[in-house]
This record gives sequence, structure tokens and C-alpha cells, in this order.
Amino acid sequence: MDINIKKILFEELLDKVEKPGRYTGKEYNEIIKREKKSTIKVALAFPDLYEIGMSYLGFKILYEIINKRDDALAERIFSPAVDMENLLRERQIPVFSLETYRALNSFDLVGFTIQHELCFSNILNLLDLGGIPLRSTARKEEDPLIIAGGPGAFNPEPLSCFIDLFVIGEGEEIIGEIIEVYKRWKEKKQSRSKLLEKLGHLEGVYIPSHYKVDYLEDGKVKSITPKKEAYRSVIKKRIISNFDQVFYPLYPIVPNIDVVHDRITLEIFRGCSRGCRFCQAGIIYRPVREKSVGTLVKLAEEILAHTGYEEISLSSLSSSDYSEIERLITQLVDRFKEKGVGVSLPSLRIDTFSVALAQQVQRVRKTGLTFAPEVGTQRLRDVINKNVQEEDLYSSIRAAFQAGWRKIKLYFMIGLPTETDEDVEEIVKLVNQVDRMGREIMGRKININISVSAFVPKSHTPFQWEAQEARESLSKKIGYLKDRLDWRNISFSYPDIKHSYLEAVFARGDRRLGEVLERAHYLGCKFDAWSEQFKFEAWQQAFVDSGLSMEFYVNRVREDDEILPWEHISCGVKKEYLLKEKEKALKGETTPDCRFDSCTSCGVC
Amino acid sequence: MEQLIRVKYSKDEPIRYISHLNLVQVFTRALRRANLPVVISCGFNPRFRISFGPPLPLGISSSSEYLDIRLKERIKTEDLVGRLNRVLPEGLKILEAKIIPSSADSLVKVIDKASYWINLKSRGSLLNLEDDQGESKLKELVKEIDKDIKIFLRLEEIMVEKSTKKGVKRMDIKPSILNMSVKKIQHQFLELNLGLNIGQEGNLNPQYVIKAWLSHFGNNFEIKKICRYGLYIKGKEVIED
Repeated sequence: MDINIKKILFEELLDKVEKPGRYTGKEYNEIIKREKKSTIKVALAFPDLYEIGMSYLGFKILYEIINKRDDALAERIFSPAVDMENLLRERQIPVFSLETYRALNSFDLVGFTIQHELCFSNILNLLDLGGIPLRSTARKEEDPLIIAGGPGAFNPEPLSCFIDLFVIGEGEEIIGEIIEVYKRWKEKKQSRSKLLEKLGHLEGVYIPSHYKVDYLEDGKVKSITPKKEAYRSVIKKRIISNFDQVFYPLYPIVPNIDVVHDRITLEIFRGCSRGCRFCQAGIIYRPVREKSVGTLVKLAEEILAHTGYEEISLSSLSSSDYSEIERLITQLVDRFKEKGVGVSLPSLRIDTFSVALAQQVQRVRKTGLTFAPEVGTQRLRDVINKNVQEEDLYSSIRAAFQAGWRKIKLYFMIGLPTETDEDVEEIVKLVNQVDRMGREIMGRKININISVSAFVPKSHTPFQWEAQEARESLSKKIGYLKDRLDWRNISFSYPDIKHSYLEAVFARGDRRLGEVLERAHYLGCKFDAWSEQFKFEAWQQAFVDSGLSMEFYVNRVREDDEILPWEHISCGVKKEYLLKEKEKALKGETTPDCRFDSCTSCGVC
Repeated sequence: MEQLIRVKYSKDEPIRYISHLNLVQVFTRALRRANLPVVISCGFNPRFRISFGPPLPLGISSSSEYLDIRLKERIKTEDLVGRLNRVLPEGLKILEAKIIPSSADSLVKVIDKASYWINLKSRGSLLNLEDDQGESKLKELVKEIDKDIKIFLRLEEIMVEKSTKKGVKRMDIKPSILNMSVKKIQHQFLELNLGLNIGQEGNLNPQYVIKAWLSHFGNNFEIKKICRYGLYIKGKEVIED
């Protein structure tokens, strides 16, 4: 079937959909390569809308790295919104890339970015829309090789029957190695299994079909065994060697329409050693590695010249922890002020130092300052190892009011291990205290935005063995807070607990969930992170049809010696460390940050 | 010395699919890439001092859009055109630039007329080309449609429904219509000319006129493309060739 996708798109489809700018491509800095027959064609597939996918740094990094090569090209593919999907299905047009309007199934490699569990159904839907068989076993030699990476790959098991190969860890270096192996394989015209065999030798590559998983009668994992002796028993994540000098995208695409993060992203450091016990990012991105001030200023200058953005956002897991943050901010602000370019600091810790930093970069002021007390009591704050004292919290918020901020955002999490009703009640008291403090200092009403989320136990964290609290009781807690906090000058946002529940199922799910995913896909599940598309009943149906229980994955405390579905995936942090951290958590003991205190022996360095 | 430059540009595929607000951002970033010395407004949220003509609705292309750019220092207009064209995304092109008095009235204040070209596709066949009498039949058809248009334009009022955020609003679009006529008929396609009043009273989307006309005379066409080809101040193109 040879159809001219571009012609149909421009002549017939774009006038019929919302936000047609999502599908046209041709933005500034888009790369369309001249290709030869031998060029390896890579589709970078993002299982969500354009405006979400265009916001991710990892996606931009891979796009430029691949396109810099002489022997390969990379093009972008995003999930079409439902209106466009319906048109594509009606007209039997495959989902296509924005660069050359090429069908997904005509690429050599398809690489999915997995940010979180609620996009799993979109991965299946994209494969389906792209004319690619869902299951790896059903794919033939001419089908693309399906790769997935990103934070969501650290528990790859639920997706293991659909993905040929997972990349565990940082992608900057390994992507080139994969292309090299693929190229040699393609020249020799060998079998698909031979290709996987070869790729399996690369460090950080996980090929699920090379492993066999057995289960106990009660449903727990009995063993995860490599099918051949040559296969690794543990797959260790990739860590790039020189973070300061590693490739950084200098020509990011400038979207023509609004996207979620529409600014220059300057990654100042990777990793975090604060050690919050619920946080997966704080474990899997270790160790902490910084770029130098000199490198960052140079990068900012170049990217600005190539994009014309009006804002530079310093990105990391906790920006005030950057060792030379003051020098960096001063240099950036001074250099770009007269061009009308601002600097923003999205993730700040709670301390007066951070408030002082925020004062330096005025742009933050318009959006308000965000603090994450996480919980209502110091006891629970110690359990999760949020190393912040109540006094620090109040003094930094006081400093923010004194500096003139009238809008404060506060983040909380409910359902954490050991949480009691009192902990939840104390959230209300804390907010009221902040409200009072604001009125006293400002002499008028202030705005407080409260954002509450539900704890989702994630793999590779000290809380990976913990249960998620029952749905009913989480909903009751949300209701309690909403009744007391959603009024007057306080706005209150909260999640649909069913989302957090499904997220928890897949965050620690095993291989058998593949069947559920496939079933849910046929029942029409997609865009699970978007409430207007979320079909919880269909998910429940899919579980019933597959004979599996959601509660088994979510609401059960796992034993210390239980074999976890991701037992064979290593992020470098040792299991003993995570266990020790869990025990300390339950005793309410804290662990200091190794950057300012002694080594915690987490095992990553 | 400050300098105000009026720029004429075209907006075509694929940029016609972005909104006016997004277009403002696209231009702002292009101006920064071009490193042009645009004046920045004071205040909390510094902005480039640029101002656009009447917004073009999403989906409509144009060969005649305008933008005023205030510069901190004098530069040659051909430099500005060249530098900007090198950094604009596909679909936007600066056609010409002219220095205007620093105190000139803003584009939205002075532009009073817009011309549109509308391409419609017939659901049935309009003309049989193999027919010997094609030529005369064509003339007849043009006459017939022009008559339809005349009747349409003589209506006392032309009410349309406009859906806004606050719900559906009914309005009379007749005062906005200046002229309407057949431009060309070819194969299945009918091309119309449409002139609309524009300015303080509003900036009517030509789709409303065409849809009202189509529903008035049996809806046998679908709109394929609309292009704005002229913006005028008191009968003259904003920048005359």
C-alpha cells in the first residue's frame, strides 16, 4: 500500500481536527535528512500528545545525537489525539512521523520513551496505529525493532511481551552502540533472533525474551532465569562517563504551538542524594553529577542563539543543591537580562537560602513559589527522610512572604507508610498556620494552592515493599482535606485515586500484566493519565478477563526476601541499602545526604 | 535613534494551522534569533515592542499580513528582511519592509478592509468539460451564481450563530460584508472573492459568510481553502507595491 500521507494530511485531515499544529511538523530546527538506502531510520516515539512529548529533555537529546550521525536519521512520532486517531483509523492511514510523514512501520528502529505507567496503553495503541504487531513474538524480520527506555524502564516487566529491547539507564552513549550493531546486522541480512543475541551483549540492554519467569502458587515470582548461560543474570543500568562534557542538544526544536515546557532546559546536574524514601528518581538517577558553571553558561548562550527562547529553566531534581548555584544564577541573569531573557528555577528545596535564590530570578515571582512539606508532621517527615525541620519550613515561607510573594504552592502526599489520621489532620493545621502567617506579614489575604497526591510505591525505592493504602481510605482522606481546605483564598487540587491505583499496579507489576494490557487495549483503554479518556471499568474488566487481581499488586506488603519482578534490573543502588532504609523509615530515623555527611554506602559509586 | 518598521509577510502551509497567539510567540523568538535590536518594554514581564495587524483565524492562509517592529537603532530595511527570513520557520516569509513615522497609528486602528479568496469544492460536478458548449455553459453558470450572491447580499439581515465560551451567540453579519463575487470556475472548484469590513467593529471570520451563503442556497460545496490577499487603509494596500 503506497499512500501519500502528507497529501491526505494537508488536504483533508488538518481542517477537521483540534490543534492541527500538533501534526504538521516543520518547526524551526526540525531536521530532515538526506538519506541513502543504507541509512538507519529511527522513530522516536512518545506515547502521549505532541505538547507533552515535546517537553522532555531525553527526547531532544536522542533526536540530536542520532541525527548528527552520517549513517542514521531520527524522526518524531507522538500519540495522535482521539479526533485524529479516529480519522486515521477511518481512512486506514498509519500513524506517521512529523519530519517526512513516514509510517511508523517503515522505520528500522522504534524507540519509545516511557515516563510513567499510565502511558503503557498508549504504547500499544501507537504500535497498533503504526501497523506493527503488538507482541514481539509476532513480529517478522521486516518489522521494526521496538526499543523502550526512560525512567519507566526500571520495572520493564509489564511491557516485556511488547518491547524487543529495553535500555536501562542513560541513553546518550548506548544509542550509538545499538545503531552500530543494527547496521552490521542489516548488512549481513541475518535473522531477528541473531540481532537480539548481538544486542544482548551491550551493557544496559535488557532483552525480555532471553529470560524466563516462574511463579509460585500464590502468584509471587519464584525465579527469573536467563535462558542461556551467556545472558547476564543482572542487567546494570548505563551511566555516562563524563556528565560535564557529554553531548547536550544545542538545536532544540522550537514548537509553533504551546507545549508544556516551552523554554530552554538547562540540565545543571543529574541525580540526587537527598534520599527521600518514596522517590524513585532520587535513586535511579544516582550518582549526583554536575556540569560546571562555565559549561552551562556556554550552553545557554548557544541554545539561546539557536532558539530565541525568552526563558532558561535550570533543571535538576533539586536546583538549590547545585554546588555553585549562586554564581551560576548571577552569571546567567547578568548575561541575558538585556535581551529580555529570564531564568527560572522550578525545583527548589525548602530553606531560606532557596527563597533568596528565587528572589534573584524575578520570573519565578509571577507564578508563585512552591514548597513541598510533603506531610503534616515532623514524625512522618522523618519517616520519608525529607530532611527538613518544621522550623525551616515556617522560616522559609515567612521569608517568601517578606520578600513579597503573595502566592504560595504547597505539595503534600497522603497514604505514606505509617501515616495516621493525626498526620492528615496536621496538614490542615499547617496550611492554616501558613495562611495566618501570610496575612500577618502581607496585611492582606494571600493565595495558597494546595496540591495533594497519593503515595504510589515504586520499584527501586526503600518503600518498594510497602502496600498502597486501600482506595476507599485514600478517598476518605482526600475528602477530609477537601472539606477543610478548599475555600476562600485556598485552592485545592487532588488526584482521582483510581489513577494512582492503576499506576501502583503497573509500577510494581510482573510479566503477566502483559495480557491485561493487551486486553485493555482491545477494550479501548488509552490516555489513562487524562481523566476524560480514563476508563477504569475497562481496566477492571481486563483484569477479570485475565484472571489477575489488582489488589495483589497494590495492597499487599511484600516480604523482605520476596523475589521482586525487577530483581534482575540493577540501578546500582544495592538492595541491602534499600532494605536498611526501609527499616530506618519504620523506626522514624533519618539518613543524611552524602554530599554533606558521610557515605551512606548505597552502592552506586 | 528609534525606528519603526512596518513589515509585510505571508503565512502559508503549515503555519496557517497555528493560532494568532502562537504566531506572536513564533515571531518573538525569530526576532531574538535574528538578534535584531528590538525595543523591550519595561515592566515586570519584558516584551518586545511589536504589534500585529488584525488576527488571522486558524486555518486561513495569507499573502498580505502586517507587523510593526520598533527598533532601538536604525538598520537597513533589506537587512531586516534578510536576517528575519533566514530564521523564520517554514510557512512564514517577510515580503517587504518600510520605515514609517515613529508616531504612526497602530495597524489594527487604521486597517479597515480585508479581501479574501475562497476556494470551494463542489460535491457534485459543476461542468462537463468534454461538452462542446463548455464555454457558454460556464458563462451561464457564473451568471447564475453571481445572481445567487446578489440575492444573498440583498437580504435584510444575515443571522449566524457563533459559539463562544459563554455559549451560542446570534449575530447579524451583513454590515461586515462589502462585496462578494465569482472569481473563477474550474473543474469541480468554485473560487469566490470576498471583501469584509474590518476594524473597530470587529474582525469577522469569512467562514461565517461562506457558510451562511451555502446554507442559503443548498449546501453543495465544501470549503477547501481560504486566503487573505489584501488588507487596506482607506482603499489602499497597507504597503503599496
